[in-house]
Amino acid sequence: MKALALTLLIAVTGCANVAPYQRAHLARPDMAFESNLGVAKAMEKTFPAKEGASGGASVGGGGCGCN
Amino acid sequence: MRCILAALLFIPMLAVAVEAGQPAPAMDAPRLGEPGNLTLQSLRGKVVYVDFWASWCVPCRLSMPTLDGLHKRHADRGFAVVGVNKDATLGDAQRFLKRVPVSFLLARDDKDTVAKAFDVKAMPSGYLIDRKGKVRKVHRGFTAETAATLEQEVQDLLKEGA
Amino acid sequence: MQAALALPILVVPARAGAAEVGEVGIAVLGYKERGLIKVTEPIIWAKGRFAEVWEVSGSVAVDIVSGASPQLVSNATGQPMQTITGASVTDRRKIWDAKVSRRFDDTTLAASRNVSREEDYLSHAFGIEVRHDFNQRNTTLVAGYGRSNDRIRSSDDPLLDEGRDTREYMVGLVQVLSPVAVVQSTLVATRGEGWYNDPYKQTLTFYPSGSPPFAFSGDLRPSSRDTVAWLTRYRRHFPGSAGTLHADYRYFHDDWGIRAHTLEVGWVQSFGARWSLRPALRYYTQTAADFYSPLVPRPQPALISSDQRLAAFGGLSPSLKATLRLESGTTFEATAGYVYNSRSMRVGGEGSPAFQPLRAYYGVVSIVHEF
Repeated sequence: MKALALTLLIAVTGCANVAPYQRAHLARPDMAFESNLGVAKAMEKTFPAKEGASGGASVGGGGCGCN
Repeated sequence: MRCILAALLFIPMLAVAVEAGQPAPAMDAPRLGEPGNLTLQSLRGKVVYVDFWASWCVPCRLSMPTLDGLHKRHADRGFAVVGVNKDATLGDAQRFLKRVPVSFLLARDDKDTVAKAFDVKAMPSGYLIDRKGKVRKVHRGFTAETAATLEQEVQDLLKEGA
Repeated sequence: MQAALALPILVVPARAGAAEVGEVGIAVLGYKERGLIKVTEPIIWAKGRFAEVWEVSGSVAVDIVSGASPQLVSNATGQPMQTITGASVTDRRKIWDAKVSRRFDDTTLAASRNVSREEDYLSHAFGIEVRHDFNQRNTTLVAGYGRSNDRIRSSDDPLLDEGRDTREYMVGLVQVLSPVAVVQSTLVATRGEGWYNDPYKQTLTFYPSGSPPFAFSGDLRPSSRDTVAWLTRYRRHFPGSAGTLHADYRYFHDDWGIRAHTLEVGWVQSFGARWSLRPALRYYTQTAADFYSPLVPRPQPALISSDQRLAAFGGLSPSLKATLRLESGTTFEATAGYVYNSRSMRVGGEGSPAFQPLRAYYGVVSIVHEF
């Protein structure tokens, strides 16, 4: 499973050579991976508190006694 | 696949960089928000700072007041700043300039011809060109240090062949 | 320049003047389940970059939870059902976190700390992270390590005082695919040891013809948990239509038997330079934990939990976000979402028969000022 995942990852990413001056679209706020810091933090526990899965984005976030 | 592996092996990018000591590439770009073109040829005899900037680049935004100050202070001694804009649209650039107006010359480079000619490796990139058309200093990125150094560099070049 | 590179990461910069670039923000999340709990969470934060290479950020949040949580799963009615046995309570959780990072040319080192405190739960965590940019910043590799220590008590049982220790390991890649597309993929593996039982959940099963005629159990989970989460995020801008596609997929797997898939697709449509709207749809599906059971079997097993969060179910959550970005650097954002989890929403297997549907609404508003 892990070998397949790694292969897919490498195949998908391909080869890009975007020059530093061609990054106008990539710099758009809607191209960011996360919403602003506060919204991302507030939403961090909203779904995991009701589901079995959690995490995947970062480390060191700590737990909660979400009952 | 090769690309990722090559990057991981730290193979440096092979490119003909424009560095100090080389003649400045020719430049012929449309003016920003005005008709006509801007060429380096027309500025021969002046000390020129060609700066590649964009409103989406944070250090570029921070450098604008410094460059504007430089241009205003030394324009009468034969100094000119040329800002080559790399925004995605003219609208983006104009919106920025409304908030941070500058008095120096501005050009557009939609087809990346100028950026490629100068082989721009970072944003912002500034090329300080002497009165004879030779690149004397390249500034990549913009920090407080750059601002301090530029003032002295411009003054030194202005003294040459005045 | 060389001297600057030699500075150890935790030395505070000598010229700690005002931040050249940064932001301050405030957000409030409201969440309401039908018939169950209600959450209000205000959060404030700030981020600043100093001396070009340092970045510091921090946030403070208060999580106010009121209402009742299901505590007992009982089959008194014939079918196992969640029942609320306790009175409605209000719980307050305070969360602080801070992060410091320093850039050395193409490498960035960061350290973070997170504290979460409520009456019956205390969590301390720290994390460290290394990022390296290659290939004119077309590729970034990230590696991280985190550790958290949790202390679990119970407002029902004053004698309960247990701990849990979790270690997290992360590797990730960010790759620019084209001038309009970028992808991020991160793998996080965690190993935890300690107390996982939920002190507020119990299961009661009636055996009409049995002796005794009922079986009762508290929440009994393993004393360790290994998890793997693989998250991939894709962003693609379409300049012609002024729109951006968001697609996020996460695969989750643990040694309790849970396998989960999460997929969220969103589209950000810009209207001029200031407004944008983002409709999105999130789909979730998970298998049940090996020891999940809404009925206490006979003979009684060593591990059992009737907590719905460990059941097999699926869920759909649509949301809509509106953003107003002003030239002055202030951004207003409002999101509204709906969550519907049920056994019938499950794809890729059977949903747990006893799963009671969850219906919830949430909304987040935020104001951020960048300078």
